[in-house]
Amino acid sequence: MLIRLLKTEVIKLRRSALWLIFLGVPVIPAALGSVNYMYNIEILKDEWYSLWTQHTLFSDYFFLPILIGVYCSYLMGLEYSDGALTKILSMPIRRTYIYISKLITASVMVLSSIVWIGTLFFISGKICGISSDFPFKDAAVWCGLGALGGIAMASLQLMLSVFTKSFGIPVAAALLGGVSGIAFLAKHMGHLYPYSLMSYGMSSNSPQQLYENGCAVFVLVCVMYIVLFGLISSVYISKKDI
Amino acid sequence: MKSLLICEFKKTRGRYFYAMLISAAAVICLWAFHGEVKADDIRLGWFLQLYQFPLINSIFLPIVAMITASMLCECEHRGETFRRLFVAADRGKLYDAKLIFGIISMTALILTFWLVTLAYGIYNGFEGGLPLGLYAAYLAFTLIPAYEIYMIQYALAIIFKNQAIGFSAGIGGCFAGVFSMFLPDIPSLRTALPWGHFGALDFVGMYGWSKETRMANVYFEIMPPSRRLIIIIPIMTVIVYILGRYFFTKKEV
Repeated sequence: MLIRLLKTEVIKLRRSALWLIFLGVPVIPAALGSVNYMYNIEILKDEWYSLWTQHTLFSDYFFLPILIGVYCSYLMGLEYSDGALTKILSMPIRRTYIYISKLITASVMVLSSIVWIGTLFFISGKICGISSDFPFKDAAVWCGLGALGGIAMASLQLMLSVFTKSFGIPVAAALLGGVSGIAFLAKHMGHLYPYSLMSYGMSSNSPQQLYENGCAVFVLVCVMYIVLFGLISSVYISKKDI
Repeated sequence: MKSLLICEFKKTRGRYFYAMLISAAAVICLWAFHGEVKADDIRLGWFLQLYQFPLINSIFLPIVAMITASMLCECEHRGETFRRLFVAADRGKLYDAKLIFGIISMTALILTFWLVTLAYGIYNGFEGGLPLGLYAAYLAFTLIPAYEIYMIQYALAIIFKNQAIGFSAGIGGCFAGVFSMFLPDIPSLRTALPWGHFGALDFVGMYGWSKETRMANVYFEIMPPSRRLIIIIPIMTVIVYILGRYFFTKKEV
């Protein structure tokens, strides 16, 4: 049943150009971050590590949370328009699967954009002429944990979109969350707050911090949030009156 | 027009619209004024704010503009109310009423931030007295690009049922606008992008900063903003308004 729901999600998104935004937007920080890196090469001496901060700093704090918020609002908005939610809730399917199928769809998009950010990082470094070896292991850890943090954030955004029919409110929450996430990162609690998990996982502020604090707690917190928000949303959808 | 504006006000009640605006103002103020006030901040405070705040505006105001525009227009799309409204009122006036309401909301937000900025400086005793003329110019150079960007976001939000279009354009533009401020050697980028106009109209330049002395030798200079830009922005705003209004009045419902 879940597979069939996922197939319907793919059909719903077939004509949507939203995936283009997920692929297009990371090009802007990559291009401009690289130019900024080249202009400040005397100050930014850590080569790949400095370039990574230039690529991810603003995108992780402001734009990726909002982008994930827009995507989750869009996924749920498809159901709110034209009474589609009433139809899907009246079908003989487990209501929990509705949330899970949407979370998997959002997760695929988050993962794709993170892989794309990593690819752009590699290409930009080569174009900028960084001579040292590409830190494959570090980049894989940043992208992997960043994706996990992004999925935790997506689970929260989906929950908000389940609660409200408004497109704008969850996006506004993503903005507030992204900004407040900086405070948690500054207080070394980035691995505990849903909106700072992505920047913490991607090590956009300090590439060494993640290793100093250990990854296990981070992974545990992400999984806990995904399960928690999933449970709350599933219960809400299950109890929802048609 | 008055009754249409009252309608707009009634539509916003109970939809967390004002909660969103107040939260946005709180976040902007927290971002701008967090941290302890150092001696350099007291010495250079008035000009430091004028130098730093266009960047904050270029990050937050476009995002608030796209959320505001979407929240005001989405209810009409979702409720499919346009077909009813179009027989009850002139399409152009409907477009204008919603636009005016959104602009009033944006102005209230910007004015709040501006007043808090002044109050913060006075409360902390920034040296040199309040340069009110410069702060009035700063307010004007914040409102002008904010209206321009709101006009774009509003046109996208009211014309397209799919709100993701406006949000996607806004995020991409905002991103490019912020980064254009870090590339002063490419001024045409800031001029070409409406989202870069906050930076392009920044009229305070900071000099004398170095890694060793940091803020000790810093001084500020007033740089008159490009006159060409002051003309271009209103023209662009009017063009966006005319196009948006045209496509809205021709919209099939």
